[in-house]
Amino acid sequence: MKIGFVGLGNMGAPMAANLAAAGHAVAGFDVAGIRVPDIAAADSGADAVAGAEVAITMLPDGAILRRVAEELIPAMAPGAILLDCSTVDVESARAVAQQARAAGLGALDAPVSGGAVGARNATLTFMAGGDEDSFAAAAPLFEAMGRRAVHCGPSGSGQAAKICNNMIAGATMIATCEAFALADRLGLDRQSLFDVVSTSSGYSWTMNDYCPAPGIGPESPADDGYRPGFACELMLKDLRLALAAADATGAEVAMGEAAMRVYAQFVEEEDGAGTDFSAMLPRFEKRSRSAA
Amino acid sequence: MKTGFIGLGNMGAPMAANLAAAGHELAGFDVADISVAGVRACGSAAEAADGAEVVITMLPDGAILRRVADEIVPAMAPGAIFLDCSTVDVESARAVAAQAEAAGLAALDAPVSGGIAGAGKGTLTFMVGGAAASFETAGPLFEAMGQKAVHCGPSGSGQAAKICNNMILGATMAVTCEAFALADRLGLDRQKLFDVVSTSSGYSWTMNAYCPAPGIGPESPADNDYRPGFASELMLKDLRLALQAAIAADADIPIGEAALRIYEQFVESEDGAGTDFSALLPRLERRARG
Repeated sequence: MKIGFVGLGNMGAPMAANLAAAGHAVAGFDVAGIRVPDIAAADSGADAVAGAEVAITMLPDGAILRRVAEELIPAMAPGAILLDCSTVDVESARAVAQQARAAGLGALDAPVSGGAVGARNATLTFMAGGDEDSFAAAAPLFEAMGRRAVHCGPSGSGQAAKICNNMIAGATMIATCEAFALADRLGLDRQSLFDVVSTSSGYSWTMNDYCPAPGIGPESPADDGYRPGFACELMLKDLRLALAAADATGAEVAMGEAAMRVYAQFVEEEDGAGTDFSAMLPRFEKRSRSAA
Repeated sequence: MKTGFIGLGNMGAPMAANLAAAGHELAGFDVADISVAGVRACGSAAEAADGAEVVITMLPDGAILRRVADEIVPAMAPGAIFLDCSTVDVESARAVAAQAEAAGLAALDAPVSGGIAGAGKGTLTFMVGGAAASFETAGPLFEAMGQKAVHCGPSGSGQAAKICNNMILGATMAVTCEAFALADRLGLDRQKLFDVVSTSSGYSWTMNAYCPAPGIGPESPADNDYRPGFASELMLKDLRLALQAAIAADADIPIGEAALRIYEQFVESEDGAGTDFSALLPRLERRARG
């Protein structure tokens, strides 16, 4: 398939490389002038997507996505698909999709989970919103870049599914780290806590697959000095997107807000930036209630 | 085994009945004068404990446990085991264990999960603190009352494991319900949210095994009008025990406290009492952000 790829950062570059490796003809552009082997370097976003069947964007936020969409949409061939893989606010995702459809294009919002490692190993999961036909047409691309793509519903549903999932993961991670630090202070062995919780009603991905305590459970960033993995500042970004969506729709997300405040403090007032989001555990270990 | 059983309420009665059914010799007492088939009714807690190899208590809170311990510890035979299955604060569990040990007895704290249904069916899980030898001696009793017993460490470890688990559980339930209610407002289908989250980094027992959305995932209290199951006020009790332990141990638990505030409001200022703890979802459906 002929593909234009805009945004060749930590995520976009390996994703574009995997598409090229699967035999797709990829033209790429990044404002930072990044070049990726086997990707034809274009001079602009519009240049990258001209004549492409699918234009893929992988960008930092909704404002940038909206700006880039303004540039790309007029340059795209009629019937082409604008496939945004960025994680952005639901409103921006819907606005861009609407703009694309008004111009006679297909549109999908398909944020990913799996991080830079998943992008490199082509093991990403895509949560996709948009029409069935576009989702079916993009299937070979999802296959080249990832391991799973779930069609979640109309435009915006992919972003909605991602922020709902990550809001749960963020709050569950903090609660799990609190439990380990509390167990320490109560004299309860960490392995015993893991043995109970991972097989009881407290089990979760956080505890069972990504245990924040070093040396316990399967290998995780905790066993690698809390190098990400999934960085705290990305969790903070996603929690803020969840809050923005809750604000826009009048939903109450008290737990999501509490989790957002904890990550905001850790990233912006303490030393959390650049560490994995499971580094909440050493944070709670060092932290006492009286000093909180 | 010759067993005394004190506290024959919703949990204690079926547990005692299961022990009797397994062939143990049961003497029971409850302040409310409850009698259980197969269990010899006694006139006092001390009488139920007298001559027993193991005395089991299943009581509402730490203060009551301490009072009952004052009565039964002197009545127990030397070397007998004081096996407390109540869910109480860690400090009370440790104080009672120390008192029992000082009197030449062994002590185990062994709070359960599995609720009334698990007590009835003999499928409880026991989280146990105390000496390994006592844990082994009590093995046949755990087997008669439940399907799993985990030895978590010294006295108090059973209570610690339970409140840590239930703090995670309460927080996870609350945020999972928020996610469903947010998805509703964003136009994301609940089944799609389940399909994504239950197989991604947001999965949990709450989502996968006890889904708070009716008609989605395996059968749960949500499919039975949110009848408990595990009642909201019991979750509130456990979150308060977690906070009490955190205050005593100087631990910071902001998410546990956020969950506590939600259940407190639901149970004490709204209509949550008597509903399953997953009934936070219909609560959030009705609520607007304020």
